[in-house]
Amino acid sequence: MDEETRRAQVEALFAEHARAVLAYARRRTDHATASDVVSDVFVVALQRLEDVPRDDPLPWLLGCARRALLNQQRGQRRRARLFERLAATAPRSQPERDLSDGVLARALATLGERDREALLLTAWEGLTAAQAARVLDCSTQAFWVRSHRARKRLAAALERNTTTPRTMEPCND
Amino acid sequence: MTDVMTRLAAANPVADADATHASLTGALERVRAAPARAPRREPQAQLVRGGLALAATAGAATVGVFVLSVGTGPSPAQAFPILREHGTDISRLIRRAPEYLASNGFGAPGSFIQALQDAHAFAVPNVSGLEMGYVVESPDDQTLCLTIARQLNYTGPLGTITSGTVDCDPTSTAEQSGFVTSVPAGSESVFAAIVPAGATVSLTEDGTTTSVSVDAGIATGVVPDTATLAIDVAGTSTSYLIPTASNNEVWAWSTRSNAGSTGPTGGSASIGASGTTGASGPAN
Repeated sequence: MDEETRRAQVEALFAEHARAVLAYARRRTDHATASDVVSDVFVVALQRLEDVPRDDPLPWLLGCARRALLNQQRGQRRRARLFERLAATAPRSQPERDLSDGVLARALATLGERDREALLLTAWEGLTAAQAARVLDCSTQAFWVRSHRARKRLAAALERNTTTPRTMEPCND
Repeated sequence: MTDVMTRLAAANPVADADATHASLTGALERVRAAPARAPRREPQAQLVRGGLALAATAGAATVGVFVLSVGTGPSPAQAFPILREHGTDISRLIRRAPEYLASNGFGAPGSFIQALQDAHAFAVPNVSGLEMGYVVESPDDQTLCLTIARQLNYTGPLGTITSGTVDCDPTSTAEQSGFVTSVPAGSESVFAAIVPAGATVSLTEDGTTTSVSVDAGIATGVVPDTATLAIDVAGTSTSYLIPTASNNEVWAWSTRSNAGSTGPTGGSASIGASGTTGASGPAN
């Protein structure tokens, strides 16, 4: 495939899926980083066009976006360690909009990254189980197991977060 | 359990419709500027030069060299062996460099993006987070630039701040005498020099002169105080002053265009304020 054809095909992919990739990234990081993630994803697509599934490329693109975000977060942690030494403050890149449901946000934060993604890929990105499994690079069956377990963990975390702390009874000696 | 998923779906913080095409323009430009084929990765071991241990993961500071000229004489790759090595993308690390270079008469910003995506890496001393250096060759190379950068992320309006130094020289001058840049590293200074093939480099500190190893046309090291670096090319020696850390100028910019502030430590694309530091200009 010549370069012109590759670029044309990637531009078509971009036109169709870039908004979904950007939305995925913006739900998880700040706007500037999300824009970087989008370009990373489509540069990878350009250079590995043969690996992009033609029938349903979105899960492949979101899988790239997920890995790009994980790389960004690792880099931020390294820079944070450097920054801590310089300024005793650890900066972090935050999603541009926080969840308005604070209880839910705290409960989500208790999940591991793969568990959290198993839920969000279906709830926010609207993917089917088969598509979400491809993003997470696992079988559909494994995805179902993980998703089920993650829902239970999230429900338990919500239960813990919403339960009013029990008032201590005064000791009556 | 269904309630959990319903609640989760309702909490979606960004609707797909909010991800507008306008916010994708920059991303599309970067994709268009990228090479259609991935450059072959060079083995990590090739990045360790001059006996310097490659820093583990502590820092994000970077030294870079930009080659921005192509002459009619010997190609820069012939004069500077590091340019023959495979490239690394540093366009995000030093993302304001194209605007800075354009504002200093080196051409349109777009012509530098691809150059930044094909940087050639080398190791620098592992001091104050310094870790790697890069050489970049642009398609229209008329100038050779050395930069040292440190990247820090802030929450709030400044976003990511990249700071450091950059020095440029015509490629023809660099081929005759090489040149040097340096950056503060704690109480010391780290320098990097690009020298043409066959050059020798020596460092004079407190009256003591030692030779500096050159690998692929790059000499780098750390000095605790003001020192003089001499680059000898075909019997002609040129000396460069490496100032004390406190005298090293730095530039800085925010990656967020609406940062608003100006000046060398928070400006938006304000690298030019003190960008070409001249920190390592020829010593008299």
